[in-house]
Amino acid sequence: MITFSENQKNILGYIVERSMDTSAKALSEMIHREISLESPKLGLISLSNIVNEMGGSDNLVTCICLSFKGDVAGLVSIILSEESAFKLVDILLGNELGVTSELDEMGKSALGEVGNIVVSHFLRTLSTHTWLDLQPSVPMVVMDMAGAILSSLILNVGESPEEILFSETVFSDKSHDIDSKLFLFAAPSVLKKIFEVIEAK
Amino acid sequence: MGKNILVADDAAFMRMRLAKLLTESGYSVVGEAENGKVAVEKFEKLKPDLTIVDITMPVMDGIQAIAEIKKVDPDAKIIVCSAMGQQNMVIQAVKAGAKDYVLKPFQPARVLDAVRKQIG
Amino acid sequence: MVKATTEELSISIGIGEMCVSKDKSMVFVAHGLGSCVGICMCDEIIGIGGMAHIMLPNDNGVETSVPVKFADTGIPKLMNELIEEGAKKNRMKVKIAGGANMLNLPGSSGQFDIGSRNVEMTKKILKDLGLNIASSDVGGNCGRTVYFYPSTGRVLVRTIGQQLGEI
Repeated sequence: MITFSENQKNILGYIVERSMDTSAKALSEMIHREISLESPKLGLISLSNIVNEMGGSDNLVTCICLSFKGDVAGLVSIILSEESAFKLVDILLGNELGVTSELDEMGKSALGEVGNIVVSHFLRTLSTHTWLDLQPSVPMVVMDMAGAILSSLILNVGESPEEILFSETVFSDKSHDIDSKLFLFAAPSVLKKIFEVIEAK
Repeated sequence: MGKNILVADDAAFMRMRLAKLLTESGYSVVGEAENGKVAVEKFEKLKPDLTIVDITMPVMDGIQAIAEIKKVDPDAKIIVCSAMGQQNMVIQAVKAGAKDYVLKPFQPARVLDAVRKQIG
Repeated sequence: MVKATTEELSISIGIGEMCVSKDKSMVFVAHGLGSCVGICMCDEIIGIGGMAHIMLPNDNGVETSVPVKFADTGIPKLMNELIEEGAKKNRMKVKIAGGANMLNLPGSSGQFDIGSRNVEMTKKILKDLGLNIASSDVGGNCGRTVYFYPSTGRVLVRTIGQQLGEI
């Protein structure tokens, strides 16, 4: 069981928030819309709790996901409702909203690129604050049941399946065409590494 | 006649956007590659005036692809267009032989600037 | 579409959870199974059944308070609990569903395709326990929601964009 102090949690919270902020800016530049984000939740959570907490774990969602490796391993994923995913594709491909009603290869590729850009910016900010070397994978886009995707994603982070470092925030534009959630999942050992680096600085 | 450009990015969406931008600006996109390996093969075959590569790609990443292209033609002009903005990544790309680095999400003007600087 | 009628009592079986019942109005539901596997066992003669929702093949020596998370510890626990309640091993009907490979993440850690490893281990453990699998819906790359009627052993599986099917 890994624990962290209030102070450490604040530091980590700050870094994660900065990273999510950079991600929101990148998305905003990409789709030329202002994206606001909620203050991220942060904590250690068990796999069963996270899937249960999601609510409606067999709801259909679109998940854009990238893993990262380097000094620490983890995953960043963006989860959107089917409707938001289609609207996002429309915006990216320059269509009128409502044109896309199915994800074809180009739509998947466009969403994948959103993941690529958002996650790369996230990791860059995380690296800047922690000096950790982190490289993203190529993106993956899946549409399926939320619980099925999330549980499989988290199991891929590896290490102990008991607890995982988790952060979540809501990204949305003013008109709520794009309502999405950004999740960060990392192996608990990431905490040790991050604090080692911060304390050494 | 438009100068010839090869675009390498694993995202079909990005290749489409880059190709559209470049074609509208009078360049010819002579080839597209979805990974670094294909980029090197197409470079050998097409001998483009300029190659634009992404960093994070499956099979062979952009950094390796730049190095391989440089082996084929040490004078090859290569620009990186990637969302990976970490300083060490930029340094690695430049060391491998990239002439410029455009960060995604890109501004069309920034891409065209970088292209003009290399091939006019 | 299976809709819980007013007399039907539905209980959600989360990851690492297990439940046993004789109640005729009961349905156990494992929502959104990805690489996890739902194991359903029933002794029709006395009308008792149980379901376990496992997430990994084995515990790899990690101390855990939740044995049902793992196929190697969760499955015997389910069987023993049913036997304690009067079920007979030779009458036990077993059905399994889940174990999909949802993701093909390049460069992720070595725990690859947990879904098929979960299914393999589930089959092995059942065989070692001397239990046969009556039917199954495993593998593939789609998430599943599994409905299990413990008193009759009926199992229904829902996937996105497909009709509800019985296994």
